[in-house]
Amino acid sequence: MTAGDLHARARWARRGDIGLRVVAAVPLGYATASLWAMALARILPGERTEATVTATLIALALCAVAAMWAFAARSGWRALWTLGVAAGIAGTIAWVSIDATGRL
Amino acid sequence: MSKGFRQSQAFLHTWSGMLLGWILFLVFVAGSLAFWREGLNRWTRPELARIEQPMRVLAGSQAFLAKTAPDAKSWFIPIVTDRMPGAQLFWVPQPKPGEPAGRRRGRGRRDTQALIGADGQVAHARDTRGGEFFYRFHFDLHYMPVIWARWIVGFATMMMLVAILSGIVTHKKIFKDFFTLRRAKGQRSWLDGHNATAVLALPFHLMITYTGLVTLMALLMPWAVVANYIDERVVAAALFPSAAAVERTGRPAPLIDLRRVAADAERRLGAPASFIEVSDPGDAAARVTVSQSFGSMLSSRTPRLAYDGVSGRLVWRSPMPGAAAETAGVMIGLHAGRFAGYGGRWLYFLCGVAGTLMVASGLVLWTVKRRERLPDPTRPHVGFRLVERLNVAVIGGFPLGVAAFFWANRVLPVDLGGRAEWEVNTLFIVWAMSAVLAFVAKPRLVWSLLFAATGVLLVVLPFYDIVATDRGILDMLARGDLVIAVIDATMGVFGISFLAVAHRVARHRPSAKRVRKLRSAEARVLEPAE
Amino acid sequence: MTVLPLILSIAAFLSLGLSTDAHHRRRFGAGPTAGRRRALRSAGWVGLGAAFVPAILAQGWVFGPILWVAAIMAGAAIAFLILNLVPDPRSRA
Repeated sequence: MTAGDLHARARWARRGDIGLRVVAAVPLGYATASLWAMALARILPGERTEATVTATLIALALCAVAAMWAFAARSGWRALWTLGVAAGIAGTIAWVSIDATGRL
Repeated sequence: MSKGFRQSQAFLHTWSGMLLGWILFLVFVAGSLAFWREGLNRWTRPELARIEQPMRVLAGSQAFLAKTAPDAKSWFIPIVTDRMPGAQLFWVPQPKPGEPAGRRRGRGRRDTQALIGADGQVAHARDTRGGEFFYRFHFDLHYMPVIWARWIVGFATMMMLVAILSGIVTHKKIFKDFFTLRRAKGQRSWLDGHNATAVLALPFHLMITYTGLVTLMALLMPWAVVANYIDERVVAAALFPSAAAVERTGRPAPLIDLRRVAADAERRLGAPASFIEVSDPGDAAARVTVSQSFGSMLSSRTPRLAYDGVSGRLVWRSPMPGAAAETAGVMIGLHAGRFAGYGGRWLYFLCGVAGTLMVASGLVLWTVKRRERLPDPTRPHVGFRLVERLNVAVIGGFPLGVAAFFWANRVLPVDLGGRAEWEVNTLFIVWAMSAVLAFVAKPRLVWSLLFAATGVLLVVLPFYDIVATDRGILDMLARGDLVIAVIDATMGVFGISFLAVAHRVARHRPSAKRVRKLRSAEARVLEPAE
Repeated sequence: MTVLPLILSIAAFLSLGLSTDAHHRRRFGAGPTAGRRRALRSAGWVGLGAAFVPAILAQGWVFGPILWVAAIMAGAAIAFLILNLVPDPRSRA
């Protein structure tokens, strides 16, 4: 394997890593923030209208934070699984809550 | 903060800023102009006299509607100020039997709108979209369904927020860098300019970007609503409360003089009122709802009062919003800046201009930085060429389109069919021609050509106004009508600035730089590409 | 009272700007000593904070903070222009 091959490999590995981070940031990041919007809307105390608005405002900021995290994480795979876990937790909270008390 | 983290955020900053940077440039230009939407609404209708007596306009509006749409389902009447060209009335006819009574499509239908001028009569002004075009364009874009445009602009705004936040964390020496301005030093000068415009209006940029997302939150982040409500109309009714609707009785009864209602509302609110809705006018069940003016408070969710339309008795007052709803309202209010007086508007506008320069300098910085690293500067790769040409096409071409729009407003024939649309088409036609030029001719040449053309158009326009209309700067100053005079003057100042930039670009001689020695290929692969 | 936050902000940013090496050198001939840098920096931050008070007094608790932020941005811009564009009285070759 020549030095050129090694460099080409490394370049594609890097592009792959960036690709994973983009997937983590955009579709997964948005999904994670949206699921947290749902979870917060269910669990924040107070009147439902108020909780809904608060959850939405927070979720908008979370989208940006998720994107930053996707690029700060040590690797693309790490970005994916950490955001995935966060999404899963939020989704579970939201589902259990909606299942228990329903929607207005 | 580790070096790796900062580097990762630097990478993110560059790409999230650049990929939709051209959209953001358009949004910033149009959005900055939108702070002057009322002034531009007046500027684009030179036939109309300034409003002196808002109540006269209100009386005229009521008389007009009583004659033209006496059996309408609703009337919508703005209460004017001297900043507006007139009262843009709008009414909704009774739904025909068999037709669904939902919101009718067809915003902008001509047969249910009218403009009442300073004398209380229907105003005859040239057909134009005026300042409203720039306001709408900055989130609805043009030539596309508005939902697409709002998703595009929303997505670009989120990328902008990411660019701002990552830009902040990546910036090690925010002070020293802020005050630094190295002139004529190529890449470093562009970086300093980008830093300066970004950091000095940083509170504004953060605010306008995040609050921009808030204005689109129903579209971009509806999931909290979905989690709590099966029917979104329930939460909409809670956030935007109205008095309970009453059934039309079919018994005619005269509608009370709206001026009395407006006066009573202003007394109760302790603030000016700006909007009146009348439902079922001329019927015994008529209702008049008055909204407090946006200009009088920070939140965009202003209090509303509902009155019986025949007796003038107060029947409902909007409840105080909860803290979260009020916060959202304040955020929207901050974004729109309607609370701001004249000085505040100037500040918003200047910050918007800083934002525009920030976006433009960021886009140019990318090419300047990379040009120094090209292995062969005479044959750059496709990505570089594309970015360079897009920069010229958008940063050079769009302002020229805007200048052409203002000229179209002045010179298109008044009786031209679809005149308002043609003014807008002129903007896009001129922009398209500039874009073609940008892709075909050398960037250096096209930059100075486009900036020079914009400069000439803007500098000559106030003189055209002096010579060909009775609304020249001197006339307006004599009449005490400062807004129009200042708009003309500002166009002139921007024109001179564009000419100065065109001159600078034409004069620029790139220093013969030695191509930076290629680092070892291995190191280059492992280093974050910026 | 409305103008006071702006004046304080300009003074504060001039102080902060002069605490940087390049600008201090330009105006005073040599970089700032550690003590002077500290003094200029603290004066700057204190000035920015102090501007909050007249802003609230002028426009109340709702619009006062907006006036304060506006004064900070405007003061930064004006100080930036003064520091970078006003030529030094004694230019060194």
